[in-house]
Amino acid sequence: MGSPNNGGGGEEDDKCVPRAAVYKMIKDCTPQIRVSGEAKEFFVQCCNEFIHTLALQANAVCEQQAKKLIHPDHIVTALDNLGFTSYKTNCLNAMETAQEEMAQKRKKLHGKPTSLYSQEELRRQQELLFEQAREELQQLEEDDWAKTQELSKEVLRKKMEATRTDDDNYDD
Amino acid sequence: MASSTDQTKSSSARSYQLPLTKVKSIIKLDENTRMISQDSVYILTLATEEFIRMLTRDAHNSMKQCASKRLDRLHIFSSINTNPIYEFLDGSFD
Repeated sequence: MGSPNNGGGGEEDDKCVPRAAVYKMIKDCTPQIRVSGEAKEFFVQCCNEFIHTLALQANAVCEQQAKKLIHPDHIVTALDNLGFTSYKTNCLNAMETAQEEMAQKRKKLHGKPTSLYSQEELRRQQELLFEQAREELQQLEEDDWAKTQELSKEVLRKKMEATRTDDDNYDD
Repeated sequence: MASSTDQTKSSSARSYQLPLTKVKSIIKLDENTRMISQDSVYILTLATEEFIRMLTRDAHNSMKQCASKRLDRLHIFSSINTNPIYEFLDGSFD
């Protein structure tokens, strides 16, 4: 990632950790301490140097593992390599917390239902509707059958009557 | 569901005092450094904060040894020269 502005002294001055943040941390550590302006400046420079050194080492670790992206693991190994093993505890705790957060977020995303009802409920409702439809159809068919029967009976009765009348005529 | 408060709580679990973007731009100053994940920047920032704390403690001890009332560059120098862990800082400054 070669930046065209790299190497310029002016650029480097901007790329420093903020003095105020560093000073706040120093005060948090030892509240009563008084620090000279030069010392504050020096602290900032030391911080920058630390970041460079650690990043460089992490880069080397990453390269050794033939990876293209620097991972938190590489940073932790780099700390070991540079002798900052005591710094690892904070970092490892933070990594654990971050991983837990990710897992929780994933859970929330996948556990979210797309409708108001669960799959179970939807299936049950569907079954009920099918049952109702079946019953209605059956009723219709039964009604139909009853009507057809009635009609057939009627037709038969009329035929019978017609035949009897003819017979009566012949008896004379 | 009090999810919004939970989310605020969980995001504040990632507490850091140095700005991540600044740290990232410092890392990127080096041409040879490959791509770095955001999580790595975060971890590196935490390590830097730990470094500040450690250096403060060591420099403060130097200051007390000198019976000084104010932390000066010399006290930091003294810590750098005493503790091998700060060897990487040797020769970086005047």
